[in-house]
Amino acid sequence: MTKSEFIAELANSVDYLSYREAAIVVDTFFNSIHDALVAGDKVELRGFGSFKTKVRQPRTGRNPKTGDSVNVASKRVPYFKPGKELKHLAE
Amino acid sequence: MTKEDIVNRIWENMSLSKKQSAEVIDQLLVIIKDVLNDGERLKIGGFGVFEIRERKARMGRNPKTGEKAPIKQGETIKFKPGKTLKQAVASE
Repeated sequence: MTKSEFIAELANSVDYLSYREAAIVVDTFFNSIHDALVAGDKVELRGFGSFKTKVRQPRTGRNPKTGDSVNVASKRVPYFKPGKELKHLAE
Repeated sequence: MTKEDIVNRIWENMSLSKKQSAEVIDQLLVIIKDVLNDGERLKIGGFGVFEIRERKARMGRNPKTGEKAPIKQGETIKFKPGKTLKQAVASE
């Protein structure tokens, strides 16, 4: 499902929400999480899961084409941990 | 940040009541769950992709006691961050 299909689905399931408004809701939702992660904050959504960032340690990688070893610096990456309810749903 | 903070942001930016703002966010989360439950992946451009991945059965360990504990085969939710989000987070 794409973002526009997702927006349409949201607009369809809430009677007082137009497509245009649903688009603002979806953008605000994901932008909020984006901003929080960039700021180093954790986002906890009860029953759904939590988003946070993790720091990847520096490592020696390899160029898959040439086989040369290259140093990969440590970096921060986004991480999502599904909540109990969501995990359960996937059983 | 919690769901409450996101609801407040919706409420401040739109002409919805507080109750409606909370309903809309709850509904948004329900739709994500339903989509994944149907086995479909959800792609949010710039943010990332949510999908269900199969998890192989393996031997795990109880981190408290160190005892071996089997992990059942099943499915798990995987979030793959998009390029924009990865770059924004990495550059901080």
